[in-house]
Amino acid sequence: MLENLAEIAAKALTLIEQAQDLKALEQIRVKFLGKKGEVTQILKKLGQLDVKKRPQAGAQVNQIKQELSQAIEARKLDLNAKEIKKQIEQESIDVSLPGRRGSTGRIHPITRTLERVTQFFNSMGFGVEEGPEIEDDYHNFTALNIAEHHPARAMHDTFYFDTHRLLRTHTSPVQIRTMTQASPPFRFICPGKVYRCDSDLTHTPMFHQVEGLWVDKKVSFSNLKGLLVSFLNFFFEQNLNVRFRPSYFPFTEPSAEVDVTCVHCQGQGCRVCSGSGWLEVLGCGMVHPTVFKYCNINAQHYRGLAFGLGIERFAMLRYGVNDLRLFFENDLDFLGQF
Amino acid sequence: MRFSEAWLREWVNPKISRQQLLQQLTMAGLEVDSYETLGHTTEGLIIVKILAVNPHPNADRLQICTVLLQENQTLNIVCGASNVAVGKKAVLAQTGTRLGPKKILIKPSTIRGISSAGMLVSLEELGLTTKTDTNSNNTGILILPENAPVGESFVEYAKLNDTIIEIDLTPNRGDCLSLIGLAREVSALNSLPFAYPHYQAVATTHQQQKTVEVDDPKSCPVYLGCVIKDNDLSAQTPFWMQEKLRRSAIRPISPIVDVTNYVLLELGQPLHAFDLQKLQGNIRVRWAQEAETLVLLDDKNINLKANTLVIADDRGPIALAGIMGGLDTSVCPKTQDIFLECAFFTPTAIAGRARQYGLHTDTSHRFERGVDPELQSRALARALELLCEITKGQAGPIIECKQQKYKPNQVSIELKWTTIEDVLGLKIEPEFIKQKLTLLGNEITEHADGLHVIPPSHRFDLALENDLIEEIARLYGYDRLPSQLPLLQATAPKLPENKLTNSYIKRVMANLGYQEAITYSFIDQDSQTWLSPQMKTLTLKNPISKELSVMRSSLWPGLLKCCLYNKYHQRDKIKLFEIGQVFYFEERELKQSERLSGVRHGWASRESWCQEDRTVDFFDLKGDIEELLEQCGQNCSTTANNINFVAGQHPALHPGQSAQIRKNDIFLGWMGALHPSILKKLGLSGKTFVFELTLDGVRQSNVPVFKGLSRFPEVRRDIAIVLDHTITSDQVAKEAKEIIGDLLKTVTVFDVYKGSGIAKGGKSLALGIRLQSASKTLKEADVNQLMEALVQRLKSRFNAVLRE
Repeated sequence: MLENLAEIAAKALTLIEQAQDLKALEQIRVKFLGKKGEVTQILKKLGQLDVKKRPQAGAQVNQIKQELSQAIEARKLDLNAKEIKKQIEQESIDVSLPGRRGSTGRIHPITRTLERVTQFFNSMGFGVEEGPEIEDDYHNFTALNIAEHHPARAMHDTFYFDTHRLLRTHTSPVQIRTMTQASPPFRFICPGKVYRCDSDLTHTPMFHQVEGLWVDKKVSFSNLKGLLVSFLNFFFEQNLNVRFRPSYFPFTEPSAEVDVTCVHCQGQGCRVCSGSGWLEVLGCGMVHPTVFKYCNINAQHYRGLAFGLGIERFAMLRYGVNDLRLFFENDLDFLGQF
Repeated sequence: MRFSEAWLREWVNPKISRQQLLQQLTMAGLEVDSYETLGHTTEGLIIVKILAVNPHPNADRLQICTVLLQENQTLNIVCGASNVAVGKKAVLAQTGTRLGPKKILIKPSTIRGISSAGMLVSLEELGLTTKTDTNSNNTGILILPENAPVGESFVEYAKLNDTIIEIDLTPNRGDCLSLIGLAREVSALNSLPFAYPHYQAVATTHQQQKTVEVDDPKSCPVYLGCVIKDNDLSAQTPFWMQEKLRRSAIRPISPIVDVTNYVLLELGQPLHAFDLQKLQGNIRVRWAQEAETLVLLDDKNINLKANTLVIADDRGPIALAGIMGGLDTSVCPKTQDIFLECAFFTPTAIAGRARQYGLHTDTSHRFERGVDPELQSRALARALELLCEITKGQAGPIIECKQQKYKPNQVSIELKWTTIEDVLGLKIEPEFIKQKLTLLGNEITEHADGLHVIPPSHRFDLALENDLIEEIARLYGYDRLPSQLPLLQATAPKLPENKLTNSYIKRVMANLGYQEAITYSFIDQDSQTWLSPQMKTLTLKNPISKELSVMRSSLWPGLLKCCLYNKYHQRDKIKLFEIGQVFYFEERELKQSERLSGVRHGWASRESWCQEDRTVDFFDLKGDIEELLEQCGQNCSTTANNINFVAGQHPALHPGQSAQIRKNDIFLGWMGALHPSILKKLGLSGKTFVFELTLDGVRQSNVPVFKGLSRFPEVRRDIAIVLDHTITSDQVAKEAKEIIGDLLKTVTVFDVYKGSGIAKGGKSLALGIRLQSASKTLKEADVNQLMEALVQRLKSRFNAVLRE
């Protein structure tokens, strides 16, 4: 009865070795170790043996059974691994193919620059105020101490609709509106579109400005310098040489223009700075007492510092854009770069 | 203002280099715009006398000049100029000289067989012509005055080692529009004394006068005049004066004109010379009458306006006061007797007048900014001194028409030490302040708290304490003032959570694949008419061009123009958005509000290895808007009844593919396909989809309120119904909401089908309905009952049939 055992075991092991998939392996398991399997049959017949011989025979059969089980398990692991390997091979792809997606959009460089400027002043406690683009001459000129015959009022600078209505030439009217509606102290910037009747290589009839105003009991020209130097270093992320030059604006006194070392040539003189090594980037000054008067602010108690800058210029310097007109052509190849 | 450095240094000569001077001017607020050195030729230029002129044996147009260099030394020079003559003094460029701006080397040469030891040169070759000169007939060599020293260096004689400086003057600094003004400024900057030179009064040699009447002394408080007779017509303007004029870009014309221009440059006082013989009767300064006309010096005929001050004689206007003289009374080459005017016109009487006639002159430029009202006597004396010397003119008595009380009076300004410190943020020594203010010509008196300051008559810009503080800061140096960040008063920010920022919205749009565009706020009339025909237009009075003349009442025209631009540049997948103000009328009142608009054109997907080619359609755009609004806190599911897309008619949109977007039943905007006829007008081929939303509506979000989660299972039922194609899926979903009520979680339209098996005019909708209760597990029977009720409702409402 046990004489076949070795033969059966040998046969089973060969079959296990030869099994090519889990299904075949399972059939082999049933054939030998299943309820009616060949090894199970032998085990069932052990009762017929002599009592004395039984334990040894039992041990022998069980050992074979165990060996076969182990072989099946081992083969199973093997086949599993093979199957996964096969699956992986089948599922392998070219990962360099482009992803499945729509198009990509970007933010306009003017917005990007405006947001960067705003970020600085927000962190310094400046709010943001906005106002209408179609203005009247009172807010755009009169209240800003721009006399009736000031050249800025001439037709060749300002877009008019009629005698009083015009497109704002700066965002300063927002300062007037804000100061008239509340009481000091004030600390805010006015970003927005402004318009001048000018169109050539270096002028577009519409452009963007940020103006800022700080009115309080103790603000001085030194504070103005400190604020703007910090701003310029923040914006360009370098410690630039900054110089303040006396200038003239009807709405500030003292007034200054601010130059920085040319960011293009580091002050050596180049095309961007017309050889001077300096770039004019800001206008600023202490609020003119007449402006305070128009806004019903007591110029004896309050002082103000004000500044204004052109966003296009900052964007051009920051990103190396060499033609102002690109900003309003809206070429997708241009916009996609920011 | 353009001037010669050498001229300035004749007045004040600080011991600083050229570069330091330029830097000093810029940092004092007189910004140096550009400068050019004049000394192109540094050596080899000698003043010579022409001793003989002989014809060239081999060339008709050439002559051989024998020139004297110094005693007993002559040279033969071949010259082609027509103005060489025996006895004249000229400039010889010797061999070895590097001549002019191009540094041309003068070599010994033989011209048609005759050797020439150099070259007699012209102004142009010397690089001395002014820009305005280039077209004039300067064909000859430069002839020097008779007293020019033979044998001496021309570089020394003509002060060729000079720099022409161009400064950009701000409008408040009219006082620096003259050499004397600049000298005064440079003196103060360098703490050097400054004094007016003394002018010799010329002797009166006749008694002829002109009667002068001033109608409105407020606008002309000072009017001086003088009759100068017998000016020598052959007189020449001296070389030194010509040179100074040229270096200030003024072309020498004749002694009379040159002297008036010279005094203008030197002192800043405009003068005008009338031809005495052409004047009729008295001189009157008066306001013009409407419809009077005047032909100006530049031949321009103008119709005068009543706001214009004129100089008139008995016949009528002869000059625009403070702007330009008239042609009829102007001096000409034959003029021997003149009436010279030297006046002060009040800035407000002149400001803006030149511009209204399209004029801008050196004279109006100065009077608008303010000429020193104390300058006229001095300037007239200077002009007479020069004229009588150059043309040997005979001066009559000076006619004076002065009204002292109407001159701008200089008020005393209170300047406090504490204010200076408060404004500048630095304490500046009183001694410094007093010294500098005095150097600038202010009269100061000290008191306990500061100074009483009376500004000089030439400083129209000094009227307030701040004006003086700027002067102090300027002379102290803006760069020397401290740079200090102020201490900030802490303030709590206000950032409402339900108010979205433009920055956030722009990023959502970018993430949806839209490029941000910024277009001009003004558009062309056609686009406005096509896209917003119902809108009253707002047109600019003075547009740059017709293309940019009407204020936009929608962002569409600008975006569509960009769309066209990019299409022309071979872009076939266009997605753009813009946020900007639009302008329109609402019940005759002008409104300005912000909008968010977008445009899609071309392919939705193309040439993709994994997606089918497909052009963009209505639902691409609607999906974008839904995503945007969801990102902005809204709920776009139909059952939420928060955002609704309602079919509607817009003149610019395709009537079958357009929807009004409503938020909580309030208008939010429009979306749809552009109307085919408008596409045609725009020249845009291919479907184009646009939307426009009010920015306020998009920005208004909300603070989320948490709702408890249901722990009970959700049940899904699908039904397919057949109904008329005009019934919208929205209508069906709303019925579901009504029947199922709070138990309805979502309803999804997962299929729309028209075609075989469905009667014509009908469609099949497949709905996926999910139900869930917050408090219990739904029973099969309850769900079935609800679905039954829904089918019944759809049948009664829409005649819908359940599709088996």
